[in-house]
Amino acid sequence: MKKIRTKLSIISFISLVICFLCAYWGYRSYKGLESINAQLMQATDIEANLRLATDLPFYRSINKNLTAYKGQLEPEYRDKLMKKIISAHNRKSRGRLKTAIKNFRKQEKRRTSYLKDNKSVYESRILSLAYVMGLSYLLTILFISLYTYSSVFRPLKSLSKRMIDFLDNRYTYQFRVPKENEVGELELNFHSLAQRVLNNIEELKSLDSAKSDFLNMASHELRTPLTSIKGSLILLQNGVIGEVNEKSKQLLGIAEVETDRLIRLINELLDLAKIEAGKFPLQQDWCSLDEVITNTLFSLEGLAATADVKLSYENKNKLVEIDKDRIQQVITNLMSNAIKYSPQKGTVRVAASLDNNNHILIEIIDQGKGISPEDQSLIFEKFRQASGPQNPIVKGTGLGLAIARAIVEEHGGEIGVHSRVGEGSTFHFTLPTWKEDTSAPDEEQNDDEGVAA
Amino acid sequence: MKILMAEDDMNIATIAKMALEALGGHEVVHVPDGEAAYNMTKKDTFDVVLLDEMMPKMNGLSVCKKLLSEGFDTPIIFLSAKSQATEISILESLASGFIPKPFDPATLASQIEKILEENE
Repeated sequence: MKKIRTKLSIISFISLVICFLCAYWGYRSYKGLESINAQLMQATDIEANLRLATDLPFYRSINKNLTAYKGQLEPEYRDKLMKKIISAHNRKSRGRLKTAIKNFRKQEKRRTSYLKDNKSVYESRILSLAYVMGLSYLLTILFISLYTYSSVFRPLKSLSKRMIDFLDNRYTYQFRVPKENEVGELELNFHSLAQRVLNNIEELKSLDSAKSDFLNMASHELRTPLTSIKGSLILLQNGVIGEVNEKSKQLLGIAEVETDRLIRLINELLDLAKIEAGKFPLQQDWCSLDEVITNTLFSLEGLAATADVKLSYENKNKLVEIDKDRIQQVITNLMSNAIKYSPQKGTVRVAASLDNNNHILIEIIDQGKGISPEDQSLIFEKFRQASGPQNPIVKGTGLGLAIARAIVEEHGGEIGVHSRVGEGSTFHFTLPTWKEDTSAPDEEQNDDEGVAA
Repeated sequence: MKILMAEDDMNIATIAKMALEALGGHEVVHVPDGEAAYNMTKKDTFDVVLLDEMMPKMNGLSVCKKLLSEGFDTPIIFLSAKSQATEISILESLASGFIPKPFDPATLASQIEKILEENE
């Protein structure tokens, strides 16, 4: 399948042969022209001498000039005629010389006109050969450019377009018999490649849908028995069956707390699995950042009171485009960690500002023990918690930060931590899409509606 | 209050029934699937209908749609483990209320009463 190369080689070869033939013929014609010119010059030369012989008869030098032609003239009849002239000249016979010259001139006139005809034939032949050569050159160029355009550049362009389509997920396979040449081969190879990639994607999709089926099934199947267990425990504690004594109540309490923990763990695992599988589409809306943070703080007040920790936040009057529930979950996870690791009488501060990229930056600042650098890189991974003794108020699942990271990244933001051992920790995350809240009641009105890129 | 409850999981049904009867002082009629729930509404009258979403024979959504199309005017509340916001909003738009599973049996009765008050 080397059609393009073969075609180009053939056309180049043909064009080369034509040029070579033209050049050869041209050379031959030029040579012929040269010899005709030489003969015509000789004829002029002879004529000059004959004129001298007529006007100034029987000079020695003229005799010598004429004798030089002896045996040199072609065809033979000219030589014979010349011999007659020479012998008349030798005999110094004026009448014979005149006749002989007359005869010679008669023949010569015919011959000169014949040569002149030939000369113009040669000249026009050389001109036509030049035309043919030029034309063949032009045609070759034209053919090569048209052929490479239609067989190479155009198909390459369309192939490149299909590749871009493929990259943009707009690729659909249309069966077309590819041309039997190098570009066709390339096209065929690309389609095989694309088909293979698409088949792999198809396989991944079916795996993905199996995963999502499993998640749905798991969330139902795992939650249902836990609902029953928890419900039973609560009903027992509430004395539905009869009075419960203190020790039983204590055991029921432990069972309930642990059931809650199991429910939380399962919910978080399923949430994380759903987010990672892309089965958790964000329900994004414009909402007040202050409201979201204040609500979250409100819901954490109980936990903060138990831990004897104060919570603080200063309003910023910004609107953010977020999935409210998800971002509340992020703040809750970060805040409950901060509360967990805070000393008694400590404060957990939430601050909102703009970072260097003009994104909203939310910081959760605690006064805890801080996190060692080696732990900082681990804590956002699943089931990783900072080493060392833990605050027993809330037993974590080890998934909170992993979920927070997944949600923040889904929003196009970044999450991280700054901390030094002994100096507390600052967890921060960014939200890229925001604008000023112009409906805010008591702050200065700010008109620059900057939605950050 | 007389409550019709459709729930296919017997354990959950028992807990909900106990919670509503022992803690809330209501009367509960339990049916195990959607079809039975639909038939029961024809036989008796209730103050509120509690429907599970995922049930055999006829799911909660179908029962709800069928009843509403027939002009059924008793409040319907969904008790469902559905967690997708879109699914929840569909259920909420049709019925009087939505109680997510797992529910707290201690407050189930008061949750139902609250929904009914809001719909007054």
